[in-house]
Amino acid sequence: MTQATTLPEGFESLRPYLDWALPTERERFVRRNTSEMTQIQEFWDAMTPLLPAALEYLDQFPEDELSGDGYALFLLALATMEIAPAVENFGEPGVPDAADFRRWHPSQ
Amino acid sequence: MRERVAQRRKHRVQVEGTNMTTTVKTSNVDDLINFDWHKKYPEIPTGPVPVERYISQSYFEQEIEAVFRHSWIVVGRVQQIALPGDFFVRNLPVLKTSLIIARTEDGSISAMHNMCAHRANLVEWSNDGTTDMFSCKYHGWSYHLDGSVAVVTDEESFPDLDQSKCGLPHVSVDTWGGFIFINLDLEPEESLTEYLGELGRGIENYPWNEFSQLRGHWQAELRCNWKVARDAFVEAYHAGFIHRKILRNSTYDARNPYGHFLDITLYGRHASMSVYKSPEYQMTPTRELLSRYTVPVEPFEIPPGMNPSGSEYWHQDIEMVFPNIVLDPGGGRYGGYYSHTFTPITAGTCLYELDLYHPTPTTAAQRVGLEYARVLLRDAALEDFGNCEKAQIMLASGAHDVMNLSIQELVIRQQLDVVETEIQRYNEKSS
Repeated sequence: MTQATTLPEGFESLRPYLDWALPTERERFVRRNTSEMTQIQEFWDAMTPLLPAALEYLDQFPEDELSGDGYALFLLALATMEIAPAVENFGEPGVPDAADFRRWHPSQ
Repeated sequence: MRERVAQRRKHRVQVEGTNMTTTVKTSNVDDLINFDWHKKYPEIPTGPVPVERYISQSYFEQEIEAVFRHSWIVVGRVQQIALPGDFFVRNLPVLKTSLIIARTEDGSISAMHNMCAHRANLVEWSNDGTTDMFSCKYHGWSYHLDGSVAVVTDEESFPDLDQSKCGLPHVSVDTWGGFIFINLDLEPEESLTEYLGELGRGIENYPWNEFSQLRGHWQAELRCNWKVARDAFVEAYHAGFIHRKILRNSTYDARNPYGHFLDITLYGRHASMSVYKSPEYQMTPTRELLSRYTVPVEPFEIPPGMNPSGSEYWHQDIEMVFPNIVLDPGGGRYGGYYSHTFTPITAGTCLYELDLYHPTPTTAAQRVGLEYARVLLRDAALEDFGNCEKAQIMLASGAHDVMNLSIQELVIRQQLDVVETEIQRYNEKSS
């Protein structure tokens, strides 16, 4: 799919992070596990202050009725969930002391 | 009636963060978490368990013949083949076969070896799909959804062919709770209902189907014996160690520092465990925010086979369905349930599959909330399988020839014992 370039009103500040708006779990999982912690932290710091408002916005629509802008915000919110354990639980991108992430295959 | 209930001090409570209610019969949690389960099940052997069963090639071969070739095994869910023509393929290399599971025109389920009667080729090469017949790519022989022959190409050149004997060979198939079970034995000793017995009856009224419209599926080929992987999911002792960062203190606290179970019940081949929920659990800020966006579920009371001790500290159950699937219903703070499947490949490798089944979100925000649950669960499983592979390396060293298990690991002992019994029974029958 083509990369989203716009976001709903109030979320324009997230525009520099649209490369995190990845449509599949597999892509988000790889992105997290191949990023530096500084990149993850930068996205996290930009996204989390807006997360309560983003969830409020996304609570108005079923997933399949999101507009293009709304869909990009939705994907950024999903990517935030992907990196949440890296920031809140591990303090590093991947799962410490675990098997290589490349061997774990998500179906989506 | 109301007085009688009060007399027994039973009452229903809502399970925190969910729409489930459970009947509380006792609040004496200390008696439950300190119980010696060997006293309840004196027939289960105590003492160290032999490492040999996790590494021996000949033991592995006996397990496959005695257990996997004659047991009811989960291959998927009915939602995967909702409509006539829907099918999926399940490869079982250790049983040297590939199966097609299909929904037929009359709505029933057929399970068949994926083998052409012409020159043996694999008929269906896709993992899943929708079709009106299965056609062999080699010479075009085709089969109906129920496995009977539809087309023999160049039919005139096969003058002696008895087409009634050329269908895809069937295996036994049945369903329970929306799970599709197969048995390679065409005349199983027990029906699926008999096989699942009291455990099946006790937990069948859980909303297995309601939570199964959507699922997350992850899989990995693990370099460990299938029982090493299984053992990792039938005890809660490890949660405070390997999972301490990801699961935090959700199942242990000062009162129950090693996450002792609230209950262990053995049901012949199968077993059920109830996991303790710590009231001191500290949610991460993300989880706290997302708790406002949980998917609404019709209220239901958990069935009598779950949380049988009736503790208000109940987090979820772990249902060990012999030989190789563990169902984790209740889901505590997840909503829905998840399952772990361990399919042997060789004595030292297995396919591990994690499936998370959850209620269907109505808004995009609820879907984001589910993503968090999915990520946490699969990160935790990644910790488990790193562990399992390291254990297998050292099991093979033989430096210790036994493992030493705690009272809380009773189900590991029981499962080893059931496999051993099945092998002995099989050997007696075949000699």
